[in-house]
Amino acid sequence: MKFEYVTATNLERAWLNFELDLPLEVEPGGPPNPFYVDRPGNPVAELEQALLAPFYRLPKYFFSGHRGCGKSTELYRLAVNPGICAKFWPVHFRIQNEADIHSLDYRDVLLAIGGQMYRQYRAGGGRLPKQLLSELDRFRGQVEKEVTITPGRWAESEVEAKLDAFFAGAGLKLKLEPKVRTVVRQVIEEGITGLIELLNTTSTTIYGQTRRWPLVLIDGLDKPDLERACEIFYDHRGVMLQPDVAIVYTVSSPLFYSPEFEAIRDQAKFLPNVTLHLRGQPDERDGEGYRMMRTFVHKRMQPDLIAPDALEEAIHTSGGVFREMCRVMRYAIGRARVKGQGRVELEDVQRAGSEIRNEYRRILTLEQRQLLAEVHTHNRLDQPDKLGPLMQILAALEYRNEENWCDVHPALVPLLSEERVTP
Amino acid sequence: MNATRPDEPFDERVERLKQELALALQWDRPSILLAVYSSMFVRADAEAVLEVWLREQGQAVARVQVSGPDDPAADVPLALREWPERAHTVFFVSGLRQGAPTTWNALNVRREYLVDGRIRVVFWVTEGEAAELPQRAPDFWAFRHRVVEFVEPPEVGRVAYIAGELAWEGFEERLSPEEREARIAFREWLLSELPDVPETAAARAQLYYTLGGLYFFGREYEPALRHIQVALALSEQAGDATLQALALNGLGNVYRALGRYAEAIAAYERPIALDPKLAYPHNGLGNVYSDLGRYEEAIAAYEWAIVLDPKDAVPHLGLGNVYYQQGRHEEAIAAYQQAIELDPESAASHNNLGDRYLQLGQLEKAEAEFQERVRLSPDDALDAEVCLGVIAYHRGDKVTATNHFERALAIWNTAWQRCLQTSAALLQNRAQALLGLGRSQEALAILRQALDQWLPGDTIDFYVYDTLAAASEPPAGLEDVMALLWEAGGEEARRSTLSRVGGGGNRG
Repeated sequence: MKFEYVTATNLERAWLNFELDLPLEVEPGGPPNPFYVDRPGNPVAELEQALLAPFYRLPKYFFSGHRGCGKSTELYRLAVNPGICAKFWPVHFRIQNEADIHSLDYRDVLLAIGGQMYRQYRAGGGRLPKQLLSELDRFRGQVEKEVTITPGRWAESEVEAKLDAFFAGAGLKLKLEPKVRTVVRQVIEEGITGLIELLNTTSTTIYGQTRRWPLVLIDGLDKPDLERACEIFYDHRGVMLQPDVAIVYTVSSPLFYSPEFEAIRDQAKFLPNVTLHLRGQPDERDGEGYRMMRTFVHKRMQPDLIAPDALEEAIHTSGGVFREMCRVMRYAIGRARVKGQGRVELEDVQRAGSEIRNEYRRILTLEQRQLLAEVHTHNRLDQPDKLGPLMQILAALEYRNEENWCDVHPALVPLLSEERVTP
Repeated sequence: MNATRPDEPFDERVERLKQELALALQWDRPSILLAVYSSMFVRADAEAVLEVWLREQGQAVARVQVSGPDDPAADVPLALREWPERAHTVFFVSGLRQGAPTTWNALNVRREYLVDGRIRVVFWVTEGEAAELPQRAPDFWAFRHRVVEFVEPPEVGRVAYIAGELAWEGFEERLSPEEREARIAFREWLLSELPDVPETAAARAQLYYTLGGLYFFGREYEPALRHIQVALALSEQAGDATLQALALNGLGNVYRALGRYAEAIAAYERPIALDPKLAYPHNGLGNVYSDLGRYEEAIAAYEWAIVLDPKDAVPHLGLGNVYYQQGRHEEAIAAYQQAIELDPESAASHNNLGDRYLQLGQLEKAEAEFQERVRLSPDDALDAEVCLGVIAYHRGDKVTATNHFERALAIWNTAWQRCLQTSAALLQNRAQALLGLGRSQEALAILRQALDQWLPGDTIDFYVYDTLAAASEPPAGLEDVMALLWEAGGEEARRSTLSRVGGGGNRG
């Protein structure tokens, strides 16, 4: 059943529209997704401009942001952005569909880039020249000397069919079969220059045929832990920046803030949470932020389904994180439905806030609560080693106006003054 | 969660889960729910209500218990995605910690499988797992759809009977509530007086451990766990290996009382690893294996405990219970007799021996044991009073029988509060007393309640009813009672277990 992006006129439908991981899909050349809310000063606009700027070398960018801030949504938009599509041939995919994130390695990423370029170009009706097919087939042959990926028997002339099957099967086998993974990595390791050259040739071929450079947008690369991410983007950053393909890699916020990332930070764009108040002035509402979050809700459900004071409370409780807004709304809608109400009232939102607070109560240590209390007082982004894990679980939220600062998830503020029972 | 009793009623919390699932089913969307529990019994209650409702919605329930990191189910998203009938199935997944680190990694990186596959799943997680999940699988946790807590302790009477645990050596499990509270208050005060410095670590460890035991016997399992865990940490800090082992044993006892058997086994195994000569954790293991029906392992564990501490009566009592469950009556009697020889004051041993004699029709011997049981602890000797009444009734001495049955009803509340047997066993005793007093309709109603609260290991005391039936004038309504029991247990069960029945544990 395809999801229909229609504004809810009742709470049942509203529950559906606030699904936490609802992808805001857009058709190429089509109108914006009906649920999408643009943000003023959207950093993605910067990314878009950077990609559209003239270049000597095909651009590579790193796209980061905290959980739930809308990275995936923005990548969807970028992939169908008319300006981008005029200049680039977008290849958008999630790395977890191509490789095993448990043990992700830079070689897996490079192979996924190549495989997806090939498959998406072929799926779009593109035909690659015989010579390139032959070179790709040689690479396939090197891999399949050791392991079988392509099912069935193919005649010598069916190179394209063989390659289609190879690239279609490679992702799945790499994900599920450690032996295949090991062998493919060995083959790539031994011929890394050859693989990069194949990527470059494929990219150039696509450009030659479409007058658009491939732009690879990889979602999900923010999943691996910091150590693995450093291994890919720091230890092998030379290789990752080498292919003549425009690439936007998603990276996690811990990697973005790590010292190792310093060298490439100028190629990074960070998508912040929506600011709801000014730094050091928790009672001073940011009108623009509230307007944006109100729009976010009203695009998904009619305004009469939530009392105005309940909406304001929900926005406050969300902390300006879109996914948290969805969570607050879902919890509150659930509360309202149980009581047989036709609209969400203030009490429902307050109970939703309590539910979220309860979820964190068992997680936060005394030390973390103390740190959060300090953060709530001074809004400073220091002690990154201690704040990092709290940002990971959204107990602390980062904002950016002129400068970076942070605050505590609003639902958790009452926790900070609670007496903690002896452990 | 600090409160052990959430402010929201149980039914409303189950309703929240139902509502989330109902909407997910209505819209054919995924549902990733977390249900946090403390007691297996409470979890079982919630699961049962939810399962009935799901079946009414045309959904099957599939329970996925992860048993280890190499278990294929440990990659939960993959396992559920591959499930053949997943569109019409709601999954109840548990054992995340047992499957670590595979479970955490898989949930973190393959959450999309659950979403893309529109899988509806309730993850039953312990409080510890709930606290660990955000750290170990932050991406999964960030997308949780709803978290509902079932962290209250089980109702009085739902817990496993506690006699014979060797939980806290020297502890008095029969303390009055007032006395227990006074002891707790005193020790909490002492703790508050002790500065948090290394020099006081050993003393604080002891206090926490003792408090853990006091809470345990008051069936306050959440504070019991918390205190024992602190005792464990402090004893490690103080380098007190003995207390460390005791605390681990105590943890095992609490987990067992909560029905969290895997954690109980793990807790008992740790002190064995620390010091293979310790006897009491073997006894704890025997109890858990016995609860699980793993009788041969239980016997081996009890026998180890006996080898390591031949003067301890408790493992003999456990051994007697297991032999009885296996129908090895002579060996059961010998084990109980051995327990009594080592500890003549063991009320449970006298009671269980009395039950076995009654079952074998040796009424005089049974009567002597039950009388001794009453003498040792008259205010909670429920089963003994009932059985003495049954024996007197069988002989035609209705005056004596009535006295015993009335006495049984009078002390029933105390026995219930002390939790010396399971709910079903306690209710069955009450029904037997009512039947003996000629109040058969009330007896039937109570028996139905007993059957509603039946737990694995509970058995029907057919031998008690048989003894009544063999009286020259059986009590009125006995046939109706027997019919109900045969319907519940089956005639075949009756024949095959004529001497197996009676409740596997200690009988007060």
